[in-house]
Order: sequence, then C-alpha cells, then structure tokens
Amino acid sequence: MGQIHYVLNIVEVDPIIILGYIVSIVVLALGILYGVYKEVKGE
Amino acid sequence: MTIVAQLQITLFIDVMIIFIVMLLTIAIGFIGYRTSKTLTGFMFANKTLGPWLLAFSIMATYFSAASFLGGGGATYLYNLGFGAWLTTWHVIGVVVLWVIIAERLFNYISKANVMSIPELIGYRYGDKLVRTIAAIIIIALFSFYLVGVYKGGAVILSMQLGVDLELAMLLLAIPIIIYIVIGGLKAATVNNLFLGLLMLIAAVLTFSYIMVYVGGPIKGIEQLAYMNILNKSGMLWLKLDGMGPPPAMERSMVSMLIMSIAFSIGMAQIALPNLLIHFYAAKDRRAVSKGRIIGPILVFLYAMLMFSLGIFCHLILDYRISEKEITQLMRDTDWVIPKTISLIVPSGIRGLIFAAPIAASMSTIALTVLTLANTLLRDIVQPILKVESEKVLLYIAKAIAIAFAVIPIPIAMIGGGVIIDIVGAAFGTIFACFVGPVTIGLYWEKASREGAIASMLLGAITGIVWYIYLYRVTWIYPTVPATAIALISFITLSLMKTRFKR
Repeated sequence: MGQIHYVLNIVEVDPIIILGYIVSIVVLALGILYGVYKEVKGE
Repeated sequence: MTIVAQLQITLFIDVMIIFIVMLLTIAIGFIGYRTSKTLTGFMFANKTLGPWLLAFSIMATYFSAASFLGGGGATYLYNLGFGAWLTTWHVIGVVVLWVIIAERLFNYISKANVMSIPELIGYRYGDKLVRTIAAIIIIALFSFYLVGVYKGGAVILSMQLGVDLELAMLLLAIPIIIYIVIGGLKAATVNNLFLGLLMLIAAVLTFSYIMVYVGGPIKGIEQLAYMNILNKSGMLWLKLDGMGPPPAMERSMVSMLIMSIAFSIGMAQIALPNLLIHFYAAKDRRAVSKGRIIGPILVFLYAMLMFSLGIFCHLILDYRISEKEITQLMRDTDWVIPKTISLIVPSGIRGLIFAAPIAASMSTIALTVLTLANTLLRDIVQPILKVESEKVLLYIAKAIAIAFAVIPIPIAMIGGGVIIDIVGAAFGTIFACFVGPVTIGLYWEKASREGAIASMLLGAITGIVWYIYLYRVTWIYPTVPATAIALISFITLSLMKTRFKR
C-alpha cells in the first residue's frame, strides 16, 4: 500500500488507471467467492 | 568459436524448441484418436471434458497471438490505462461467462439436446431462418477472424525461421490439421491445456525478465515519468487521457478509444461461439461448477502479466534503437515484445517465449476451425443434403475442418493491418451479433425471433460499416455502436411482439 501511495503521489499515476487494476482484483475475488460458495453448497 | 557460429547455435536452439512444441501437439493429437471415431466423439469428445480441460481450453482459445503481441505491446503506444482497463474488462468478461452463462447454457443444451450454436438459437426461437442466419454470420465473421489469428502466429514463425509469411502460415496449419483430423475436439482441448500452460509460463517469463531489467513496476513507472520519448513527456503514458494514436489525441478521444477497445475485446468472451461450444462437451454439471473457479483465475493471471508490459519496453528499447525505429514500433506495436525479448532474454528461454504466440494461434485456430466445421455441417450441409450415415458425416466434417484451416492462408496474403485491429473488429462484431440472441435469450423469456434476426443482421452490418468508414473518424470502437444498435433492436422488437400478442 505504501508503495502505491508513493507512486500515486510522486509520479502522479492517473487514479483511474489504478482503479482499473483494483476493479480487476475485486471482480475476480467476487467470482471466486461465488464459485467456492456454490461448490460448498453442492449446487 | 566465432560470433557467427555462436549466433547460429542460439538461433538453432530457439527454432528447435518451437519445432518440438509443434511436434508435441501432433503427438498429443493421438490422445483423441479413439474418441473421434464417431461424429459426436469428433465434434464433442463424447462429452468427457472435465474442469481443467474446459477452463484451459476456453482460455487458450480466447487468447490468440494478438493477446501476446498486440496486447503485450499496445502500451508502447497507448498509455498504461489501456493495460489496466483491458485487464479489467477481461476479468469482468470471464467472470460473467463462468458465473452467469456457463451453467445456464449447459443445462439448456442438455435439455434441448442441440449440437451447435445456430441450432441452439433455432431451438430457442423455434425457427429455421434464424438458425440459418446465425450459421452464415458465424461462418463469415470467424473466417475473417481466422485470418488475423493466422497472421499473429506466422509473423513470429517467419521471423524465427527466416521464411516467408506464406510458408510460415502453412507450417502453422499443418500440425493443427493433423491433430484435428486424428483426434477432433478431444485432441484440440488436450492440446489447448498444453498450449495454454505454455502461454502462461511464457507470460510469467516475459513479465519477470522485463521487470527484473527495469527494477520492478514501481521503479519502472518512476523512471518512465521522467523519460522523454520522441519529445514527449513520459507522464503522458501515465494518464488515461494521455498517450494514444495521434489522431485520437488531437480529438481528445484517447480515453474513449481505450475504453471501447478494452470493452469490445474483454466482453467478447460472453458470446463467442468458439468458447460457448466447449460447454456442449462438458462432462457434467460439476465440471462446469469447478471450472467456474479455475477459468477466471487463468484469464486474470495472463491479463495481469501481459497487458501492461509495453510501457516498460520504452526503458529497454529506446536507449538502444534509433528515433526512426521507435516511431516505427509505435505504429506497429506487435513487434515491441519480440524485439524486447530478443535483447534481454537468453537463448533457449527465448525460444520458449517465442513459442507462446505460436501456441496461442494454434489453440485458437483449432477450436475456431472445429466450430466452423460443426456449424457448416449441422446447420447448412446436413439440412440440405439430408445425409444420415454417421460415417459419411464424419468424413464430411473432417474435410470441412481441413478446408477451414487452409482457406484463411490465401485470404491473409491479400489483406493487411495491425493484428489487434483485425481480431478486435471480428471479435467485437460477433459479440454484438450474439449477445442478445444467445446470452440474454438464455434468461429472457420475452426474447423473440424477430428481435434475434434484427439483432444479428444489424449488429453485423453496423460493426463492419463502422469499422471501415467511421472508426478512424470518430475513434469509437465499432463494437460499442454495433452492440447498442443490436441490443436496442433485439429488445424493442421482442417487447413489441409481446405487446402485439396481447
């Protein structure tokens, strides 16, 4: 997190670009959680 | 040993690795020999695909050489936002495919006992015309799409072997034809597991070598920010509305262009017939259920590793090549990754990495050729000729598959353009045509045959016309208007029919 703050503050990477990577990780995590939930429930 | 001799040995090692990969695909083809003795076995591997085969094969089919060359090198021209949002839309697309569509499609196919995407559409809307239109659109668009896929793999093969592009394409086609004819879908999917694994290994190696060279992503970005690239500040590569194709920059359309390309390519996964056909061959519901966890992880890994590498290549290439060469590379970004790899990766590993775009092309071509053969046989040839003999149908299927594997080669010789553009346009147009009739049609009961026909025809016409005449004027990728028009017509006509019935 510290490194991301560093890049955002010092190098000024567009926050919308960082948002893209964050959305990817969140969507993947939600997809996996749903898949695991369905597996555990046996559906 | 002289330098020339050393160079020859290193080149020989790289070429040998590529040849070994190609020979292995033929050997793997024999795995499907027993299964492919019947038509169902040839086309659907007797419905025996487990979760790993499903997930890897869908990933390897979806990612062609354009994902490695075009996707990897794109941020040499475009800003980092292209890599970030291309990754995002790929992850959204693959999660939607596995979470929302996969099981529903599998259940529907099992219930309806249909054998092709057009047949599914025909069954869903209870009409033969809609089935024929779907078949014609699939055959036309996928044939065009295959041209781009062939070119992607062949440019690397021609560069490594020092042969013409024509010969390289033929060399690419030969192992595919052999293993498809021997083992059908089973051979193609097992090969896709092998080729998909190779693509992931190559992506990890490419990412690692580039990151080690630039000192990691954070340091690389920091260096880039203070870099001067062709009299432009490196900061332009770190803003979503920053660097892009010069005409799009002049019109302040870079963000829109990036988002529309990323959306088109990423979301295409949810409606591409060569991906959806995999669920026809799934072993059971559990295979689909387990694939739901594996599939998204594979696409995420590959996208994260590959799609943002281009900007870091400025730190490697720009100090070693002339301004003229940098300009040339920014015009044709497909060469950025191969050129970077040639400079920083040792022989042997370099051969393994160069085998990846070839593997990516082979896996995509194989499944697309089988989808085309299945569509032409089931939806055009069989209804017209009324052939009943299983043996005759199997021979016809194999002959059609060979024809579809060869036809793109002469077409590719005539056409030109950047790989990602060709693949992107076909991808996106197919998505626009089928997202309504197939994907939404699985859930929406009110969907009508009129809506489906209008959606497919208007989607195809808008996608192609926009790409030819309006794309480079508006800098909005054709999929966006094509999908909008296709969906509006699909929903409006379906609702109108419901109201008219009442």
